[in-house]
Amino acid sequence: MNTEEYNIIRRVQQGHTKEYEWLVRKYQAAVYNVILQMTRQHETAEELAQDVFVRAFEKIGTFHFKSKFFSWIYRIAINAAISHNKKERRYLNAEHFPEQGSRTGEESLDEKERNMLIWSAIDRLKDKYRSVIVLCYFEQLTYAEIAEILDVSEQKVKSRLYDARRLLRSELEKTNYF
Amino acid sequence: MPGITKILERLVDKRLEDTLSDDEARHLDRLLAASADARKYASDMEKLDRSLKAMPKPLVKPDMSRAVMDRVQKTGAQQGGARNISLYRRFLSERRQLLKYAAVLLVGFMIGSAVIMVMSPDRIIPGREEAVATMAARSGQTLSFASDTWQLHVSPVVVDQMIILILSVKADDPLEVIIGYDPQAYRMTRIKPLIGDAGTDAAPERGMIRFGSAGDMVYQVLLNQLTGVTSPILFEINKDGKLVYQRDIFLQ
Repeated sequence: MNTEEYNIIRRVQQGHTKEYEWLVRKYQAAVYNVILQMTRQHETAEELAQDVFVRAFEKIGTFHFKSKFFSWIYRIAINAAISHNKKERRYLNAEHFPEQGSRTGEESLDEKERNMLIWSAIDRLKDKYRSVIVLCYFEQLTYAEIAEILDVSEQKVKSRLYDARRLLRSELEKTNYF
Repeated sequence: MPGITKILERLVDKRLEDTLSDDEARHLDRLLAASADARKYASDMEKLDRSLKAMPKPLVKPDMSRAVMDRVQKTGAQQGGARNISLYRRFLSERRQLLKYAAVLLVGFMIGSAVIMVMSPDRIIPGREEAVATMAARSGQTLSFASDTWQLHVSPVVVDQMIILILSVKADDPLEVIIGYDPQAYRMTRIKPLIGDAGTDAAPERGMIRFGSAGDMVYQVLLNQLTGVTSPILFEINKDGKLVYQRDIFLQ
């Protein structure tokens, strides 16, 4: 965490509410995108991302700089997405997945089909496996960062990733993916 | 498949992670040479790994700062509340014992209130709520929701890492009441019927407690908070297999 971020968090904790906007601007895309990949619904992602920032603001007094702010807010975001998914197991088809800013337009039909199969398989994973896949492959975070976000050991992250890959293969084997 | 062993799976995984030692690499080569199934497994896993790495990432850049700040300004008073949490926690650690006694008294009061609510048919219930919503609740506050045929009262008490929920339901017809929680955030330690009991069913690994309910029921549920992260507790009422009421409650 850089000094600027540290100072801003301190000021927000002291009651300088307006300073919080800096943190929202800095992390909004990351929080939105990680929730989007967990829930696969744009509207839900936007709604939950806003809730995450409001909740983080309300709880910022309990942030003691023991972890990175980024990990702290990601953890709130992942928990919010998991909580949402538990209640509402309705995923959009992969064809409805965001195209804006992605490379989707450049993909060949085969790639699109393969990606749909992968997303469909990821959808069928339990949230604990889905979250490590999203954080590792899509957010490209290190095991240490994932461990901090999920509040588990690095070994646990590796073990979940190992299981998640095997489960994905097993799901994809039922299709013509391989 | 015969060639796919746990060892093979582990070694292929290590190869994907690029953490194979020379000895392990040689062992893996031997396993692959000996089995077509093993080769297929390794090839599938490598293809999957490559595909996952190459998946298009959504790069949406929303600007929600204004919407968030509007909401934050509106709940500005809670900012003070957030700051007070540290003081509250410090007070808890120093006065934990005293607080536990106070909590016991409060729980007793809550149980009494819940019983009165269930037993008093003419009790005035606050206005009918939306069927599905999220709300915040403070420790010690009683939340009351009602329809023409049922009433639900929830009294949460938060003591340090422990959440005591007193749940009272009064229903003309059989209902199913479900409490949902994130099992990574909370551990259910106790469910106890205080008045009536139409059957309880808990699935702690899925974060779900189910109560049958008809007539007057009061239950006590104890949850232990596992992390410092706030996670909502879901209350759901189903009637004749249909969801009639759902609410997420964030305990403060």
